[in-house]
Amino acid sequence: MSVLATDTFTRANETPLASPWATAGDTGTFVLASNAVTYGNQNNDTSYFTTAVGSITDQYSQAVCSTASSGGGGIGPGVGVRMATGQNYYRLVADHGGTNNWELGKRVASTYTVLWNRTQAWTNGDVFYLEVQGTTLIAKRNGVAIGASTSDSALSAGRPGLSYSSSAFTSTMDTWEGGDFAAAGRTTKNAHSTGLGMQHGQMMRLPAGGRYVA
Amino acid sequence: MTLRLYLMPLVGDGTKASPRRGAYVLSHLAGTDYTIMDGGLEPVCLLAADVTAAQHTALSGESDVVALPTNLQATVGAQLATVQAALEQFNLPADWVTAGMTYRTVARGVALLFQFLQRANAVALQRVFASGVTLNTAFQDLPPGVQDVVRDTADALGVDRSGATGATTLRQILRAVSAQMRVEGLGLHGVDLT
Repeated sequence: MSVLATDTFTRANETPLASPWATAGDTGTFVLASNAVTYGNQNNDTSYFTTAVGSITDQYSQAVCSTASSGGGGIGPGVGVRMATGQNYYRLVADHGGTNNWELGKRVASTYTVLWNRTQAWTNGDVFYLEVQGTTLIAKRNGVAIGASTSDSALSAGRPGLSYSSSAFTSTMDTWEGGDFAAAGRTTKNAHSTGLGMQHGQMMRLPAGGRYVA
Repeated sequence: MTLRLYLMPLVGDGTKASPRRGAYVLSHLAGTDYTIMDGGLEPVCLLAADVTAAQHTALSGESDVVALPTNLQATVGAQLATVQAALEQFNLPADWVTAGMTYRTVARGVALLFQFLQRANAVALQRVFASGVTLNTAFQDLPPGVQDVVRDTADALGVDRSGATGATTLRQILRAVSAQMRVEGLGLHGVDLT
C-alpha cells in the first residue's frame, strides 16, 4: 500500500470544508470544526473526495470516526472510495445501533443501493477503512475485516474521501488517509497540512513500506 | 443458521427515503447480516445471508423468491426446467443452463451477468430492459438508447461484441458478454462464485 494523501484537519475552521476537498454532489456540505470534519446539516447525506489524488482505480480510504447515534439502519459517519462528481461512490458508514449498524452502499448517478448491512459493535475513535481493488470491496474496522468481501462492477474509478449518511446525531471524521496499492517509494502529493512539516500541495516521497510513522 | 443464496426482486427507487435493496430484507431479515449483488438498474438481485430455518421458510415462501439449494455443488438435474423458468422470470437468459451444471455454475453465470448490468448502470444510466424490451428482442429492434447501453458497456468492459449483428437477440448478447467477463474473487457474503 502507498499513502497518496492524508489530512489531520488540524487547522482553522472551514465552512464548507475547503480545497483540496470537493463534494461528490450530495445535498449536504461538510464543515471543519474543532479540528475534525462534521456535517453541515445532519439531515443531509454528504460525501467529499480529495482532489489531491487523481482519479484512480484501486484505492483505499480510512478515517477515525465517531458518532452519538445508535439508531442503526445505515446512518453515521464513514469513508468512501471511487468517489466522483454526479453522486458516484462506494461508501462505508456506521453508527452504534444494536443490529445492522454497518452499511456498505453505492451511489451511482444519485441512485443509492444498499450492498450489505452487518452488525458489529465499535467504539468512537475507531478507524473505518474501505478499499476497492478491481471489483472487490473490503471493509475493515481497526484493521480487521467486517465480514466477507463484496464484488461490484458499477464504478471503475474515482477518488478516496469521506461520507456521511443522514440523519445521525453528532458525527465526526478525523485523521483521514487515502492511498493505493502500488509499490511503496512513489512520489505523492500531500492533501493538506499533514503534521509532517509540509505545506499544502507539497510533494513528498514515501519511505519503503509506504507509510510515515509519527 | 445456514448460509444460503436467493434470487429475488430488488426494490426501492434509489432515493434516501427508499434506497434500492433486496426485497424482504426489512421484513424477513431484520437484524441479520446479508449481502446483495444487484443487477444494475434491473429490479433483481442475488442475496446471500446466514439464515435461520424460520427465515428461510419465510423467504422461500414468497412467490417471487428463488432459493438455491445449500449444496451449490449439486447438479441441476431434473430441476432444469424449473431453474430456467426461475431465471427467465427475471429477464435472465437461461438457455445456457444444462442439467449437468452445478448450482454454483448457474449462480456464477447470473453473477457475471449482474456485473455487466452494474457497469451498464454506471455507463448509461438507463435500464437495459426498457419498456417493451425482452430477451428475444433483436439488437436492431432495441430502442437506440438501449443499443447504446449494450454497446458502450461492452466497450467499457473490453468484451468482444464483434459477433453480434442486428438480428442477434438481447438474450444472445447478454450471454455472450457475460461469458467473457473476468471478475477476480467473484463472491457474495463468503460464497465463492469463482
